[in-house]
Amino acid sequence: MRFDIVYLWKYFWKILPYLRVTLEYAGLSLLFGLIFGSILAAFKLQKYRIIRYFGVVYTAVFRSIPPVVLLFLVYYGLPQLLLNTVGIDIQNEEKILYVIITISILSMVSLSEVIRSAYTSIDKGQYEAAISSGLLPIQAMVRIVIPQMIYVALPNIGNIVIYLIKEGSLGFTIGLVDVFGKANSLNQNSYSNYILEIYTALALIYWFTSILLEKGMKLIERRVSYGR
Amino acid sequence: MKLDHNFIKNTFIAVLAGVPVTFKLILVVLLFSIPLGVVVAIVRMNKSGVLSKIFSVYVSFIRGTPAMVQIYLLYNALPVVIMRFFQEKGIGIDVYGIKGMTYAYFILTATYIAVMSESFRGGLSAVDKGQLEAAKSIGLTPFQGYYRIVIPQAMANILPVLANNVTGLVKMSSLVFAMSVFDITAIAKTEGARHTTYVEAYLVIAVMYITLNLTIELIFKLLEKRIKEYHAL
Repeated sequence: MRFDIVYLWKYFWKILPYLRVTLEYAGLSLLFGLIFGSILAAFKLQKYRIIRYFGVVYTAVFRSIPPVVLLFLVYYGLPQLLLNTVGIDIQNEEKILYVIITISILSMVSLSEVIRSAYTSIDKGQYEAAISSGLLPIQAMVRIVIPQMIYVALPNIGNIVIYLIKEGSLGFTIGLVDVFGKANSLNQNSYSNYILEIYTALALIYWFTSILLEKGMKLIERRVSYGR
Repeated sequence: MKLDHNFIKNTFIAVLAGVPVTFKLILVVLLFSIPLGVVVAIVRMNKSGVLSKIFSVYVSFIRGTPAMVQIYLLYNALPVVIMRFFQEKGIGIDVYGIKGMTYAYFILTATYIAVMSESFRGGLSAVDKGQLEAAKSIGLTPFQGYYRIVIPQAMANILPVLANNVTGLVKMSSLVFAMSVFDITAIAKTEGARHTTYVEAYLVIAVMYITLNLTIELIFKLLEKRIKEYHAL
């Protein structure tokens, strides 16, 4: 079985630069996911049933849809929808926009669950003590409650980040050139002669990235738990 | 936005042919990955031994690489290399003749053994180690100990995560279009491409997948309630 280690090495370094694209959409999606996920979590914690149900239904729908299907829906449907309703023309935007939108929606839903459970796990007494010692509500949240939430939520957020990177790999189906897309084009250009080397290199890049991320999360967890 | 209702109806009828394929896939994968996942979880929990380390590496690889990459490796890349090797040696086995469905079963099961084992590891280690020791001390074999004592107790912890895993499997099954398997997503792709009614086609299967997953979650919630009542006795 011919498997050329030299070519594995060569293709590894050819594909690696495109990791930047992958990390770009993962980072942006994480950011949007945290922002909108917090809003969604807030919805689910409201006392008004309508708002709560909206949050619950939204979560249920977007947790049950396969990422590929959502990506195709966003890619084919969103430009038309925006054009007909709000008049925004995104037909000429880069493909990465659709990947970011899709992954943001998916991460927003997972993150809203994480944020919600982290919030409810913090003893309400913390907030009350903060208020009673003179802090404004917003100070109480930012200085007392949220830091404790971060500690609880961190392992789950780490898992979600790895999930983001893996689901984003589907971007190649709409033509996005990230690590996966580059591997595909390299494979086509070499007439599938080095197909095993190329995709093994791709798998190794993903694997190493996820291992690095796990180690990074453990480091951050240790830092955040200082003093416990 | 104009959605052609005729196309929606036609696509739905066409997609129905893919539903049995998806169901077959999910059931077979669950059938194999749950027991084998338990085995891998137990092996990994007894941290000694080469097998435990091999499984850890295996699980790390499966969890660290996207499903699509695994599919491309095993369905696209590996057969090419194996065929070249066979042709050199003159072996007449036709690897290209293996149906995509077989690859689908294999790859999804391999992934889900890893996923299940991670979930089971958490649930199993929540059960007091004394339970297993007590079982051994009254003469039960390790297998009986796990099967009759530990696993039933772990069930209450595992069920929510299991629900998550099953819905994840339904979602992952949508990727088998890359292996030329005619499941729901693959048919929707071809139907959409036929008249460029992509949005209608994907909306139809989105609703189907959402309904399926929500039903599964409902079933698991009912199961959880039953188990909680049983435990409360």
